[in-house]
Amino acid sequence: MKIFCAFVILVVLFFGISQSEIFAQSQNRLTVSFENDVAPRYEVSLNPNEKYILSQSYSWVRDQTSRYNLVSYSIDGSQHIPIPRIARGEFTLDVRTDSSRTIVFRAVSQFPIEVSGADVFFFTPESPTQDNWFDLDSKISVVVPKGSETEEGKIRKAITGWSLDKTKMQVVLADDTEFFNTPTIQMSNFHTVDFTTQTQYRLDVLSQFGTTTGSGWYNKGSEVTVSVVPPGDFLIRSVVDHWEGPDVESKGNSATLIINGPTTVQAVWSTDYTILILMIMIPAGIGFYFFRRRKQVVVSAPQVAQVAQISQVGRPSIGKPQSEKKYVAQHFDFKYSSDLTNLTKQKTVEKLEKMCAAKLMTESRLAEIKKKLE
Amino acid sequence: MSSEEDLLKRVTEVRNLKENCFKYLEDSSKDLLTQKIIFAIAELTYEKRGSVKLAEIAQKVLGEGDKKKQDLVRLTIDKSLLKCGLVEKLHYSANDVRYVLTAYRFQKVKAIDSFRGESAEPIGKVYEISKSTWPIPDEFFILVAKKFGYGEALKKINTDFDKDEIPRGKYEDLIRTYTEDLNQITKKITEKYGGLEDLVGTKF
Repeated sequence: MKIFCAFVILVVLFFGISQSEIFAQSQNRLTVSFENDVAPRYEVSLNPNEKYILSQSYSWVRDQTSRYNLVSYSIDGSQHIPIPRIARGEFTLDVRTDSSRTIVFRAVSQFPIEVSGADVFFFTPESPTQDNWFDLDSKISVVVPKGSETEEGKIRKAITGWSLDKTKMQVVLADDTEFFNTPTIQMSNFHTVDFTTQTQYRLDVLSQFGTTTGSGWYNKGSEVTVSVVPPGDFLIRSVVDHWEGPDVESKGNSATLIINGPTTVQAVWSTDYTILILMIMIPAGIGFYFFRRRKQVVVSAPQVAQVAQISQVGRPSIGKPQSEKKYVAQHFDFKYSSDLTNLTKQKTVEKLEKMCAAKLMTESRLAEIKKKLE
Repeated sequence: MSSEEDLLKRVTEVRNLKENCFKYLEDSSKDLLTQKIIFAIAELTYEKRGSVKLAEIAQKVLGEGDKKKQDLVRLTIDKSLLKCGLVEKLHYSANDVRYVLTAYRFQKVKAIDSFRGESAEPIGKVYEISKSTWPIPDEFFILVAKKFGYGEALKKINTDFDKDEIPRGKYEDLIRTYTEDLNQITKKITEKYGGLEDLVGTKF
């Protein structure tokens, strides 16, 4: 009987405690809310005997062209704890279930930027979520390499223009800089950036001697002039005989060609012995002349005076002072450059007149253009 | 797209016209108002380097630009030239409407309807509105002329050097400078006016 009574008391005690605990557990709740109500608030019950893992998407849709992205969270009103900025997937948090909890998430609006026309590009500063979405009001710039080689050293695509949101296409100037940065774009909306490209081909100018000009990247169909400055040989000179390459029109030390693909042109040289021959022939000739003159002097005494007179007459023109020679050289340089400039201008005007004669412009327009040239 | 770029695009474009529309360009229509309007728009666009207003067209074609004359020109444009795709109407603002030619070269075509779908068969040569009225910027002519000038200067430098008329140092400097300048000019022509040089026929 005693044993039975003890059993009954134990059962009553056990069930009594369990029920009160269960009752207490059912009061523990987790409240999840979002700052600025960027997502609906919700509540869940917490069971102290079970582990509770809270799961929340890193990003969710705001409207057709924007989204929200998690930034931080706060538990029971404590300080906000940052959340790693990730675009996709679920953020999970192990929530303690021993009492009721309140979790407040903070999220920011993000807008995407779409880039087309460039194979390689990046953003500066880069997206906080490592993609093409940026936080509201952030200021960014799109950076593209001005030329990306599709066939190394032969063909490349050069960026020639860009536009923001399909508006006016703006020209990207070809210069020595490697990258093009768009002006700052404020991310308060969805944006598109379109780049236009032009295929360019590599032109290599080769030469066994001298210094070449003209190597570089050119648009298809462009007409290019290449040239080589011959080495400063003295006695035996190397001169350009002709140029080798597809459709090259040789013009001495320079050549013109139309670029229709990756091209290599080469200067073919020949050897010019003219100066060497002259250097041998002139002293020989002079020697021979004086030898003959001397022979005549010996034969005819009265001619001695005449020879002396002739040599006196010739001398002053040979022995000009050094400063005078320098002045003459400088004067020649200046005059030649000036003549050349005038020739360029004259030919330019001649061409304009020809175009006017061919009825490509009116007389009055020709006059206007001539004024502009002046 | 700037007004200059837009006009250049129209210059380089060849537009197909059905026979009933192409007739406005033919000699048989030279006394018709439609043809006069087309050429007036071309000439005015050339002078202004931009699209033209109705009053200006009326003034040029009819010698007067009052409301009545403008209405006559507007009706002619709306009923025939706009429908045919010879002229385009540009709305700059509610009260600012201007006109411009859709192209400066036109191809007469015969429309063919077959089970394969609609297609167009070209008839005859491309008709070209006088090049003297093509709205080509001054810059293009200056660049082409300068290209010729620099090419001639380079020829002279090479000839003079071959004749030993200039010293080597001077020759090298000049060749480098003139070649670089010429390449800059050529590059600008190709980049900004690609194809126009051949089209206009400035290589003489």
